[in-house]
Amino acid sequence: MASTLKKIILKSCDGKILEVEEAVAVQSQMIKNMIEDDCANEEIPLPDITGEILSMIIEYCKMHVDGENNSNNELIARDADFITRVDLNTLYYLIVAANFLNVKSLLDLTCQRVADIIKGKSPEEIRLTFNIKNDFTPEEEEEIRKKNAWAFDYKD
Amino acid sequence: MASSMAKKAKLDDRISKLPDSILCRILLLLPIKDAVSTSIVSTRWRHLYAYMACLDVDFHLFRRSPSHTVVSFTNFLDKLLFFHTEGRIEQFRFNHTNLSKVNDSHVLGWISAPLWRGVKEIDLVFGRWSSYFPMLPTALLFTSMTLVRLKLEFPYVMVVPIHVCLPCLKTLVLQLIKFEDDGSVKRLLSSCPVLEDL
Repeated sequence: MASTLKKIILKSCDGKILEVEEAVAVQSQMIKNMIEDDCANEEIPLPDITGEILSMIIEYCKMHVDGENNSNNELIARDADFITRVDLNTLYYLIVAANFLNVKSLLDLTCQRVADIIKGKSPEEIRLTFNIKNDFTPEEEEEIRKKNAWAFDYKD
Repeated sequence: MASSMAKKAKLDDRISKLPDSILCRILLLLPIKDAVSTSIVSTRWRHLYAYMACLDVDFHLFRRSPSHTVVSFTNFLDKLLFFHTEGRIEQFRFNHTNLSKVNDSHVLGWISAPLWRGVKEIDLVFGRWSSYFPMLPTALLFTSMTLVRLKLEFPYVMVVPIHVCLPCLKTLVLQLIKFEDDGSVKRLLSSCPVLEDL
């Protein structure tokens, strides 16, 4: 019989082993599916997720399981506190991992964070923030600007 | 050393390496203007906005803009809604107080296109005091097989067509809308089998 205290063993790509309570692990739809298919009895290797990122994700999932009885506002405040502590590089790895593990609420939270960072910035500021290289020729850039002039008009 | 590592890490453009599905998800969370302005960031970002499934079109943005800006925007909407037809549109919000600068057939088209493309949510809000209202594609609107939420807010006398079928509609919000006769109301309500909120 399945017990609520059953532990799921996760192994990060750098060899870190983490034991997680099933109730926390099933926040990941991927792991939930594995448990349902009876494939989670041995350690689950996670090839692209480092121990550091995995610990953060578990911390996040645990926060959501523990906070189930809290008010919505309280959870939103905790989410905000969690995500604002994260730098851009970590944010990227969290998105990749949340997508792979299919933790929907974390994927929503991380994508929203990126959107909040982009919001209101000019294309130049976005490039600077994320260090994106502009690979348009000046002519191409001018053409796109002209085509959607309404969106690039920051003076009004 | 830690700071030089941080600097090195900072130099990597990781966000552009995210899959299309994630980048589109991020763009969906942005106002349409911000989403489109990302198209100029780099070639990776150029066409992503065209796959946005939720459109929030708010003409308030242009209330103080010169008319060529409005023309540029209407051209953009035409292209986005009529030519990138491969994607489904999930949500369509349209908000405007003074449509006089915009051609009637444009508006009819903009409301129709999402309906053709399996839209689930439509919000149409026009100003209470505006003297101009668009024609509604009622035949299309009231036979949508996908619509889950419909909000209409503008003074309008609605004639509900004979054939109405809204099998998925759960939420219907009507403000300032009047019906031509009782038959219209009955036809509409009896054709929404799963309606939960009115």
